[in-house]
Amino acid sequence: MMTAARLLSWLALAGTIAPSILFFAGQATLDHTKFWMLASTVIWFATAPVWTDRKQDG
Amino acid sequence: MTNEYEREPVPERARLGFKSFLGQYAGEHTAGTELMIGPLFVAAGVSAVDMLAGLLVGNLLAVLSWTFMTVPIATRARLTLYYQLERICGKQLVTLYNVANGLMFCLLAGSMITVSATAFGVWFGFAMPELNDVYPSSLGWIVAVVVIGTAVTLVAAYGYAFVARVANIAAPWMVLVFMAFGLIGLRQLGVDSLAEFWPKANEIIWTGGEPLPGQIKFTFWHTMFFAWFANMAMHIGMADLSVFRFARRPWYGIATGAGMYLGHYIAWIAASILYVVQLRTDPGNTAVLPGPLAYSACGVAGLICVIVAGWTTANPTIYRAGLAFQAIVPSVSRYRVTLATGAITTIVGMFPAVAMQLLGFVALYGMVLMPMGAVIFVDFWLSRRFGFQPNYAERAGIGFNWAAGLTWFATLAGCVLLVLNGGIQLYFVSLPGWFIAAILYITLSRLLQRPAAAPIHAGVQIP
Repeated sequence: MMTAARLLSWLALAGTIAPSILFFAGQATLDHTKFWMLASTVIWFATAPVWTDRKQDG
Repeated sequence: MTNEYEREPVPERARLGFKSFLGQYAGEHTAGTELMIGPLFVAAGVSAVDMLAGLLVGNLLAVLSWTFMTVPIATRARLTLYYQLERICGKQLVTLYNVANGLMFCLLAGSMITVSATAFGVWFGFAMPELNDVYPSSLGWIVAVVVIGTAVTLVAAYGYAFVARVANIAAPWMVLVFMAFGLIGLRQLGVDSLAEFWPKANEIIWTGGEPLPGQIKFTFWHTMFFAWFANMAMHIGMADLSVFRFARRPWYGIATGAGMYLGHYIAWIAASILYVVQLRTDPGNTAVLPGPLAYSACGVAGLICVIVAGWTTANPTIYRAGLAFQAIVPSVSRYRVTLATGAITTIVGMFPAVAMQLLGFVALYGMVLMPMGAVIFVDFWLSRRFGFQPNYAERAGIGFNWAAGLTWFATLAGCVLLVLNGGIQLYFVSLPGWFIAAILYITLSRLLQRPAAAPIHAGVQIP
């Protein structure tokens, strides 16, 4: 569970910045960029507390 | 972390490693206000080389100020700013310092609420303030500020720990969203490769022309001094003694570079690029509104970033202001003081003048608290060399050290005179001001200290 949450979090962070890099390179539209950034944001805030809180508790 | 060991040196077991400071500074300095500050450089007509080189050098000077001025004292004395000041200045003077500090925190937190309110304007479509507005722009604006200010205040009064958690979780995500602002903005300005960046930076981003009406023209020196002194209260002003007293090693001061170069370099550059996109889309729209700027680049994720960045930085600022004011009225609960502080902050947030003139306010904030940093520096390193006693208030058992008090008031008066009549702009005056304060404190201490003060009793080692 923890490993899955951590993996999803890292993917979400990558998903936050990657769309803007693709947009900069002309490989994505602005609408797609905004959509994937929002999706990544939701995933980050849903998964990061699972493992960051556990790490702090430990 | 700042609520522990408030009147004793931090013991070995409580000290923290380098990574703690790296994370803290990266998070704290990538804040909602960066979205206000970046565009104001463009409004000030800065050129590309002045912007990029000025910020590079200024931020380096800020990191060096923390590393060589604040942290060496913090890791030797290991005391909070307030306790260190109390030993030098006495309780009554520290109370006065708390009033000044608390008021500055209120103004700063107010501008953070202003930033968050601009995100609500995108959703609800009410009229938002223009660049040179002083008063609230619409009823919708007032309602948005009141709603956000109330929420922020209640959380600061009840559940500050929750916001600290959200801030920690949001920090890495926020840094990446700020980077995305810059990349998307660059593409919208027609830059699609690194080779094109420099020509476009000169031609369309930081063109170095006349400033917008109501703004001061910024040169390399303005940019450098602004970046150096943006956190003057924290480094030269010594507020971060309270943070770095937990550092295991003196060189941990370089951790502040994470905040300076992520927040005060990348984030300011990214925000100024977004503002140029707005100006090129609609040259008449000079309003600096982080909400619409972020929404145009990154959509809802950008708006969430503006709200989270404003909220998570306004909260600890209101909390700190509350603590500063509570020291003045210790009989009133921290909860009530925080509510009152939040009310003042919310009223400040309604008036866009502070946020829209944030460059000037940040310089003023550093100037007001800087003299006390000079007092601490001189007292710690130079007192014996110049023949006066360190920590005089504690030794003499006095509540008001006039040498320190007069140093503060006279330095501020001198700085104001230099700005009003001496032709020195606010952005530069704190540098001569620090030397004025240092010389005044040495001279006044030699004149006013009585030689036979009682020996110090606290178990704090002083070199």
